[in-house]
Amino acid sequence: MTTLAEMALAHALRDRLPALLGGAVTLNALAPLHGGSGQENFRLDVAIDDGPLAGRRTFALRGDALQPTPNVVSRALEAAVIEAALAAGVRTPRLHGLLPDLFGVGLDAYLADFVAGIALGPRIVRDPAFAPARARLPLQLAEALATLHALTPATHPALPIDRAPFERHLDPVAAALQWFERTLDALDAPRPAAEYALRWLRHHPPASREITLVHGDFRTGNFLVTEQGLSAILDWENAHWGNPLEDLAWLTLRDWRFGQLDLPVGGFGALEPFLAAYVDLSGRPIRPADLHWWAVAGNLRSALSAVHNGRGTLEIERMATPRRAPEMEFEALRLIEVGP
Amino acid sequence: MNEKPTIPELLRAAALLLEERVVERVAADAPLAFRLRVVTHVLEAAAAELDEGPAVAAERRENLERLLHRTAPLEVLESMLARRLRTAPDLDPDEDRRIRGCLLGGLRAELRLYAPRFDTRLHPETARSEE
Repeated sequence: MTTLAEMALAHALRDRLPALLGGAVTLNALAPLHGGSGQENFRLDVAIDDGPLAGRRTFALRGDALQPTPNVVSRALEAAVIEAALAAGVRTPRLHGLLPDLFGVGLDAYLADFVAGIALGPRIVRDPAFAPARARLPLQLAEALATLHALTPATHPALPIDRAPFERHLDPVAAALQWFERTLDALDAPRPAAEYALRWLRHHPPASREITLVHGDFRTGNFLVTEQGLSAILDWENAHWGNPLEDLAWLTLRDWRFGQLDLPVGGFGALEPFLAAYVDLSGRPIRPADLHWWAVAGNLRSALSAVHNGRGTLEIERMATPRRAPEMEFEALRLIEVGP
Repeated sequence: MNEKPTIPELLRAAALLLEERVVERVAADAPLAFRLRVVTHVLEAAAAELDEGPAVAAERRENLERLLHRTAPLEVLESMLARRLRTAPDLDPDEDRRIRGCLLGGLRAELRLYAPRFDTRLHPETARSEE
């Protein structure tokens, strides 16, 4: 069923795509994509009559949401991050330009290649057809992260993604602690388990304070996978200046293993070979205690986001998340109990 | 005997209908199937909260009362503990362990309500899979 909003969007796209794509464009289909529910995502099937992109093509359109998740970057900034990642060699969909104000005043969108693959975690970790992909993914993801983490405030001084508390001059551990404290203080009710985790993080700081570009939501569900392996990294809206171990730990969180608890890397890989590949490719040694700190921090972040994201919404998926927070709080305290 | 089904029974019946009759029919539409699974889960959690929520809250309150040596409503005890965790400069290692044990116990009780299949052992990775 086509909604009025989709009809209006199709109308706006018919007007604006020719200039963006450099030729006459017929919009054959427009369909919402539900992955990455924080933003407005659509699939576009078009025919381009002339110009460098002439032919039948499929694109992904990603626009600013009217009610964005707090502390994520805009589509314009996300596009700048993607361009930087692409230039460095990270597999992520190629962009075809920005459409300012497409979803309303100040609500921009960008057009990207529609890349083959699935992002559904349960299928990626269980479907027998994806067994060859699961064998390849750990090394491919280690490669993607090593490439991404070579981007730093020094190599990309003009990348404008600084936002409090994730600023290039600020210690990434202090920034994370500040974010936890602010988010906890903004909640309506105290959460002693989260306070315990925050206290533990303060009293056991990691040694590594390196700052690089961090994807910020690097996990199963945010990359596209074909039966052959990784096809593209998606959802860069949480990109920030931070510590690279944040991305590595996030990929191993229990929630993103989709039930495959004995396979810490995304529910499909063992930890040691993944870390060995990353260390080898990045030249960056990893202290187990530091990775453990970021795993506790990741669970705390996930718990607080779950509580926060369920407020002030009538979307059932978001309304359901606060009751999931105890899972992440339990996991943070369990990790503290068992140690690195 | 109560002639009307209880609210938890109604919620569970609705969840069962979705799970057994509807989710399968929309399987081809993966995002819709996912949303319906979320709805099923929400209905089950709401039913559990209505049935067992008061007992779980009482268990959590009693745990905190033993830890803090105070009798008070759950919200007050949680607020006291949260404030102590934020402001106390040092905690005796024994007290630290007791607090963590109490919190893990409270979380296990909540998880019985909201995620009954969540494995709350300290080494769940020894299990092959969890749903």
